[in-house]
Amino acid sequence: MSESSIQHRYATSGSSVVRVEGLRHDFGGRTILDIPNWTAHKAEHYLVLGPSGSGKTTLLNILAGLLRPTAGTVSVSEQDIGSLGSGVMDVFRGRHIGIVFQTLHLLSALSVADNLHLARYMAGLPRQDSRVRRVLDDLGLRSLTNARARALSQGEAQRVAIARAVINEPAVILADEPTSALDDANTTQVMNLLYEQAETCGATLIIATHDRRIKDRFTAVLELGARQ
Amino acid sequence: MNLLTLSLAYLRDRALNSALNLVLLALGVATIVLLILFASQFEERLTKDARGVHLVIGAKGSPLQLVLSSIFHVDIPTGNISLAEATKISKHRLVASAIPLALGDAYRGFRIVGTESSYPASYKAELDDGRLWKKPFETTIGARVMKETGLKVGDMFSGAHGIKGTGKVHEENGYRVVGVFKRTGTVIDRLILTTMESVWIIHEIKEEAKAKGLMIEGPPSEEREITAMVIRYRSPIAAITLPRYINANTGMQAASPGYEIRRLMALVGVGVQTLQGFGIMLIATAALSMFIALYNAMQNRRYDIVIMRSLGATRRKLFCQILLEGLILACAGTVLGIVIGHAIIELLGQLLPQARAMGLTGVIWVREEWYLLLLSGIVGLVSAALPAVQAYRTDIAVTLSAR
Repeated sequence: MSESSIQHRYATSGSSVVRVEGLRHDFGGRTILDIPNWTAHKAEHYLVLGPSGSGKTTLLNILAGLLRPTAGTVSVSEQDIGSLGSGVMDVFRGRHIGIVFQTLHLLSALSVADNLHLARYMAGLPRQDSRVRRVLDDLGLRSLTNARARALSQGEAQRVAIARAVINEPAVILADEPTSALDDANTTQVMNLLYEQAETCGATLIIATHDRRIKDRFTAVLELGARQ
Repeated sequence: MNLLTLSLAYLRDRALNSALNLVLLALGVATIVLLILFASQFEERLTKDARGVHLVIGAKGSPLQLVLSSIFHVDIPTGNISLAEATKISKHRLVASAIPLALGDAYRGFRIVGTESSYPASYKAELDDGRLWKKPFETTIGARVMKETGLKVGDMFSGAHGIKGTGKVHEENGYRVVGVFKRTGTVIDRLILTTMESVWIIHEIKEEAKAKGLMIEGPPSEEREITAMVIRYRSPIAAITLPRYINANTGMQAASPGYEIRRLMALVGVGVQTLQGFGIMLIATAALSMFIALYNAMQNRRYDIVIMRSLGATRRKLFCQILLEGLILACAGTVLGIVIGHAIIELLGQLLPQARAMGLTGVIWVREEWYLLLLSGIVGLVSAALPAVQAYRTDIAVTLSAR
């Protein structure tokens, strides 16, 4: 399937942005994830809760198409991502899914702006300086436009990571413990920004965390149980 | 932002290491380019100067020395031979042509050669200005002689004894320039040609004859001597019989330029090959160093690779990006090495008198250099291949959970 046909058929999604059916993932002979049925709707935000080892990161990796589940289907923007080949999946992910990692943030060899330009390039989108400038402005990063990524503080780096996750205006933003390395002030700021940016581009936010500081904001919660 | 700028960013990110590998590769390539340029010009020069000369006859001694002194005009002559004896050989039925040469003096490092007009003709030398020499002490000079000494038609100069032109100056006998040759790319360019008589007059009769008032005639014909005679065969059979005849039956020696050049190239070749091996070793070291640098960088870049994949980069894109890094470095190193090699050769050609005499230049392109470019491309690809495969194979989920 070509890249353009994916976009054409699925970019204008219905109300369900992520749908999971009969999802199961085994690792080392154990089932570490088992979600019979779950749907995330457009422009709504979800919290994935659960203790360490409950499979939060595994779920996000599966939703992002970085990991193939043992069983079940995952649809993002109505596209069954299990049916996509590796290369097509990579491009699909670049266009439709924004990812914010817990600690691995940026390509340290590049400047802040180039990290954002790279995100567009890797997703096969044309370079757009105005878009990069606007996102950096929105996130209060303008003064750091040409700074080296490795020269940033934790909080700044996480903001740039958010900027990069939203630069391609994805349908879904997946964030894995985005605040666990941050202090209270930065946590508030980062969460505000994530929210704002998700609203701006009409994206569905799915955050995996055990950070109690951010629980209050969410109404929709997917609770993963601890497993033996 | 594209694969090229991304690769450059990574190279810049480990600038010191990249610079080290660049220099290593450039040195190796420069060494080889140096040798290629030198060997090709050296050999071309030798064959060009010896073209049309089948045999050299001169005084007994080293045959290589005889060839070097009388064809390439770089070594000192082995001695003198009797003109009468040499003339006898020139009348041999297997000899097509014979040109006598009388050496002895030089002017500012350029040899003054007493000979006949058939000598420049054998190199297809054409006049740029003036005419050929006719009378004693008239000279026709090579293009390089004119360029470096500033002599022109009508100028007078005095030769100095010895082929370097640093010995006693023969002030009493002034030469006059009557003509200048066009550039030929051969030994003619750096010679000053005159009559045989000029050389005889200066060297043979200086003391006693001058006292007697005898001048222009030179010594009596039976006592006349020349330095060497260059011969063309009439038939290939001569190559078998003539040298043997001369070496066995006369007081002279015959040397074959072709044979002596091959012998010389074999001797020089050992040195060239040793240096070439050294250059290849440098390139191999550079390749290994590049590989290690990239391989180590891959350990730190596993997360970068994961991030790029999560941004939509396909495996193939990442594979190409890493190959590109190796390729860029290898090509940059090679281009730098080629530039350095040419610059050094050009510099040698300008500064070293011996290299200048050879007409050494860095402003040429030898076909072997294309192979060098190709080789460097391969070096870049090979050194980056394994790291690129590593990047290709990186499992995102595993790397993420291993953080």
